[in-house]
Parts: sequence; C-alpha cells; structure tokens
Amino acid sequence: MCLDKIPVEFDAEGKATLSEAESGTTSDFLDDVTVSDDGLDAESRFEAVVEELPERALDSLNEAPSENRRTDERQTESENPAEHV
Amino acid sequence: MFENLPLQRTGDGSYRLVDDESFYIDEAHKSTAERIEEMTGKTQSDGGALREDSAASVDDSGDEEFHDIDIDPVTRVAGSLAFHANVDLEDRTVREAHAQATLFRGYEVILEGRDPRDAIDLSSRACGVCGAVHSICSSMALEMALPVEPPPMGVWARNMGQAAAFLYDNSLHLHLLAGPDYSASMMADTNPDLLSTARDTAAPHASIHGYETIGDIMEGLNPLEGDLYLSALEKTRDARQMASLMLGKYPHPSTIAPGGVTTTLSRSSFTQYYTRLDDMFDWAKKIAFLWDDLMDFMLEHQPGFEHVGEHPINMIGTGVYDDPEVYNARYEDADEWGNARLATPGVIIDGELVTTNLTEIDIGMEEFVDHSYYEDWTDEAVPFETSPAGDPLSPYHPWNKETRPKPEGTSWRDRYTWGTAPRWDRHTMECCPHARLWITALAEEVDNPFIRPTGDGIEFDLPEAELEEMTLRWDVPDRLNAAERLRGKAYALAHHALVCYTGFIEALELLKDGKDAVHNEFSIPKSGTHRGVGFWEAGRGFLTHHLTIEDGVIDNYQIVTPSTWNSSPTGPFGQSGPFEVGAKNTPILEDFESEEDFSAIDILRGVRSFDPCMPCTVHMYTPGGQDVITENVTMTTCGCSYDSDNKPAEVTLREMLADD
Repeated sequence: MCLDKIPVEFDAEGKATLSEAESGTTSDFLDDVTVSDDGLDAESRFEAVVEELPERALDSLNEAPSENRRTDERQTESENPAEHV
Repeated sequence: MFENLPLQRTGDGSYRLVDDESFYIDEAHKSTAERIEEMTGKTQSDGGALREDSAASVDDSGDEEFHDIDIDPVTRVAGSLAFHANVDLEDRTVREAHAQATLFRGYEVILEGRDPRDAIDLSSRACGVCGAVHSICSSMALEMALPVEPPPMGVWARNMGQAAAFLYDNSLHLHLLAGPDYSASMMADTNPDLLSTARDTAAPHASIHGYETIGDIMEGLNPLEGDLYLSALEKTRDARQMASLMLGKYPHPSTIAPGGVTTTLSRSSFTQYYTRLDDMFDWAKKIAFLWDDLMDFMLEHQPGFEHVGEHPINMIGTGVYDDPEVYNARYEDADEWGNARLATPGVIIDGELVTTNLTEIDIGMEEFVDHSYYEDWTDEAVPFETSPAGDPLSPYHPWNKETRPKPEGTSWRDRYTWGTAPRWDRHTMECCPHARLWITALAEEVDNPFIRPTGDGIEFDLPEAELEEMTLRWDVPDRLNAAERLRGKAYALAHHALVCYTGFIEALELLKDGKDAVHNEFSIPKSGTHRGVGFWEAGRGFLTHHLTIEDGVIDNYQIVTPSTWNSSPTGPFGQSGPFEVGAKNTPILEDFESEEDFSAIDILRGVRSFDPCMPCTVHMYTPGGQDVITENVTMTTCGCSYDSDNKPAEVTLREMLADD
C-alpha cells in the first residue's frame, strides 16, 4: 500500500516539494493509492480473502462465533466463516 | 434520574418539565457557595468532595510562597491549550488553576448556511488525529435528519475504520504525548531518585512486553530516541493504514457519507487489514502490561502520585461501534441502538451508573458560556422546546444554542477561554477511554465473545499472533486519576483490536451471504426543518454533533467534543472543569531547589493524562539547536517511512535537517 512511496524531498529550509527522482513518481504514488475493483462478486471475494489468511488466523476464525449469533443462542451446527477452505 | 434539572419522569417513561420550574439561569441561580452546596451536596470549586476550599478566589496578595505558573502550550502536538496555576511551593499545593483554550476555531459559524454534506469534510478538519470521528458523527447526524440508514457492511466498515483510528490515536497519546512525562530524560530532571529506583526495579511482566526493568521502560519513552517511542510511531502508521483501507485515507477520511461509506472494499482491503490487525493483537497485549507495570511502580514508589490529576468519579460517554442489526438512525430508537453498541453509552456520577440511554444523555446536556468568550443566546426564543422524542429541552441545549463569539481580555474571575462549559444535569463530567471502559463494565450490556463486561471490569480475549492467545482483564479502579486514565487507555487498545476482529469476522459473514453493499443513497430535503444528532466518540470519548437543516442548508451546527467537557472553564454554578479540578488536587512531588528549577511536571502529568485534544500543528525538533519550528508538514503527521531504510519520517527529517 501507498504510503511508503511519497515522492517528496526537502529543500535547505525544510520545505517539502514533489520529487523529480525516478525512484518515486507521481504515477507510482497514484497507482499505489488507487484501490481498483477486484471484479469479484461477494462470495468469490470471501473465498479469496479466506485463501490468503495465515493458517493461525484460520484456526482462530474457525473457533470464533459471529456476533449475529449471540453466545447464548449459538447454533449447534457449525457455520464458521472459514469452513469452506 | 435528574437531580438538578427541572425534569420529572412520567409513567410512560417520557419526561416533562416540573410545574413552576424553569431551565433558565438567572442571578438568583448563580453561584453562591450556599447554592452550590444545596445543589450538589459538595463544597465549591471542586466539582466533587476532594477539596474543602472556600468559594472565594485566591487572593494574589504577593505572599512569597505563592507563585503564578503559566504553561503555554500544554500539549506536545499543538499549541492552543494554556494553563494558569497559582501554586504554593512551600506547601507543595496548587491553589488555583484555569484551563484556557486560546484559539477560536469557528466551525459552528463556518457551517451556517452551507450544504449539509459539507459538514462531513469541514468538521473533520477540527482535528488531524481524530478527523474520522467528526466525519462519522456528522454523517450520523445527517442520517437522522434525512433520514437514511446504512447497509450492514457500511456499518461494519465504519466500525472497523474507527477502531483502527483509535488504535493509532491511543498509541500516539500513550507513547508520544503523555509517555515522555515518564521518560528517563524527564525523570532525570524532575525525579532523579525515582529514576534510580526504577532502574533497579524489575518489571513484573517483562516476559510479555520485553522491558526488564521499569527504568528500561522509561528509557524507551525518551522522546524521538527511545525504542518504545519509535515503535509506537511505527504502530501509529500501521493503524492509520488499517483506517485508510476502510475509510479511504487518513487523516481526514474521504469516503464517509450519510448512508454508509463509499470505499471500494476489495479482496486486498480485507487481507491487508487483517495482516496489520495480527500485529495489533500483540501490541495490545504488550502495552496493557507495560503500562500496568509503569503506573503500579509510580503508585508504589511516589507517595502522593495517586492524587495527581485526581477528579471525582463523574464520567459521560456516548458509546461507539454500532450493531447494524439494531442501528436505524432514528432518535426515537436511540436508546435501543445505543445499548447495542460494543462500547456502551452512559453517565456515571460519584461512581454510580445512572443511565445508559442516549436520549437521557441528550436531554441532560447543557452548555454555558459565563466564563467564555461568547455571548449568551437565551435572550431569543427557543428554537426547540422538545427533543424529537417529545422530552423538554433546556434553552442551553446544543439544539437551542447559538454560537456568538465575543473576544475580550483574559480575566480569571470573569472570562478567560474559548472553551465552553458543558454540564450534564448541571454536573461536571470527564471523558476519556477509561470512561468508556468504566461505563461498559458497569452496564454489562455488551454481548460479544471477545469483550466481556463483568460489572467490576472487562475481560478481553486476544487471539494468538506471535504471542500466545491471552485474556486481559481491566478492573474498575477505586480512584479517577492520571494513573488510571493512562492504564485505561492502554487496555482500550485491546478493546479496539477486538472490535476490528469482530468486524472482520462479521464482514466475512456478510460476504459469504452476498451482502457487500456499503452504502445507501440519500438526498437532502430542499424544504422544511430537519434536525439530527450524531452520537459517537472521539479518541477521548463523548462526541455529539447537533444539526438543524432549514430549507436545504445548515441553520445551526453545534459540536461538543470530549475536550470541551474536560477543558471546561468554571460554570455558572462555580464548579471548575476536570482539567482545573485535577490540577488543584495534584500535589507537587517533583524535586526542585528553587522556583527557577520548578517544572510543574506533576500538573502537566495530570492535565496530559486527559489527552487534551487541540488542533493539529506539527512541531519539528532540530537537533543541536534550541529552536522549535512549527510547520504544517503532512508527512510527519502520518509518521510513515520516507525512504527505503524504513526509518520513521520524523527521525529521517531530523537527520536531513541536521545536514543543513
């Protein structure tokens, strides 16, 4: 994500100006900050997110109930979000 | 419910004005010591029972042991809070204290006559640290006025973005703003014996946070150089990246609107959010135990520290983090959706929880300007005699308030600040993250598998990351002072991280069910009177935006921030605000030999524990010189790396400037 490539440099008075250096260009910066649509429907996005999560996170999520199911009304059949993996 | 307001509850739960009583405050009301004692049961000038001062102001008779101390600025991040105190250096007490907001911002005036949608972006500029809270609060006021209600994913995106912003906010305050008051470099000047003891005292939770001694923690807090200070700076960047993923950018989010958010939430939005959240779990574990160790050391080894910044246990909060299954933006249903929040709204007086209902919190609010640079507005007809639910409103309520700035010279006995004096049921109130935890703990309304209020505390179940999974427990304290404010803020990191986690789980559930809409459309009514109120919280707690739209434009806009409550001047009943009371209760503990050596560090520790939120400026320290340059430099406020060496921007800038 974007914020490591701010193309600025400082003059002798400490004032920031946009850099002309090749290592950081305005278009690079804009590419970094632009979030494009991933072209996925909601369910496919869910699958893609779960696929990229670390193993430890999947284990935690598999154990974690959704707040929509209050802890005292937890369903007996598991519907944990990571179950599809 | 109400002790001092002329309100009486009826059988159906609504309120009415008590017969032959009035909200109006006249000379007969105004503060004699007898009137205050009759109203509150306590003596004047303390807002509570901690001081037995007389009602008379301090007489500057020129006695040698009494000294005027002026501290300006107080905060490390901006420059518009000043503090005046009269101290007895021989007796080591503070005799008089006044908090002074020195800058008129003018947002309430600027917004009059504007398109209501402008309020979201303009009010955000009230604060560079907490710009999201104002945008969200403004949007919620509009949601009520229009009306429009966000879809579930929009509510969770708002919650997740806000919780991430709070992770940034609270980490910043603890380690960059208040923390340096306990740094080795500061302690070497003000409390050298205590620093020596700290260096020989093992930190009880070193195995979790990694600092072997209390002295190591203090070294870590050295400004601009300590590793804890610099680590916190990195964490503020990570947290703001999380906030940006949900809210478009930070500071001043760009995608908050009535009806939800307009952010494109892609696959990478969620995966990048979780990657950073994983680190935050461990950060929350470490910081809670680190501040436990540091504050417990100060309480044990510095006699009197328990009184630094002490204030009566009066707190107010509006709650935060909505449940989309309950939130519908309607004022009439605010009690229900307020109580469904993951941080419960409420009012605590003398340690007792008196309400968790947003409508009662709202109608109990008043704002006074007797000691502020404003004219009273109650000479005109009241715009609204009742709330949208039909309960009586005071002429001093924000919906009826008109901002009439009137600058004049400073007089501690008359007018001395641009801050107003908010009161709830004519009590002074304090706001902060610890207030949020305190109210949530006592209310026991939150129903969440990871956040469990127990009536006398809250348990937080943090998942495994690099550190093992861990249950943290925050206990409701016996006192309200600087130590508990800072401890509460450290534990609040766990609360925010677990809201992020809850939101992430809920978002996955919504995606699985095909519900990825983040926004519902709205339109601004072109005719008629429409009003709304946003109930939200800032990093330091309570936040309201009261809005009135007349024929399509803003007719009135009133903002009450937590710092308005905390920095409040003396009110019409003679009660001092929390900063002032906290200072007057603070003993002078520092080591000094002459007045020239006196730093007022104890007063500063007390005031800074509130996290005074004043407008955003950037102070750049130039090594090797004594100058502090004040500039608006966006880069250092975001604290991100400038170069591939991944050094925080602030360090890199120092090095660059040193080369010149």
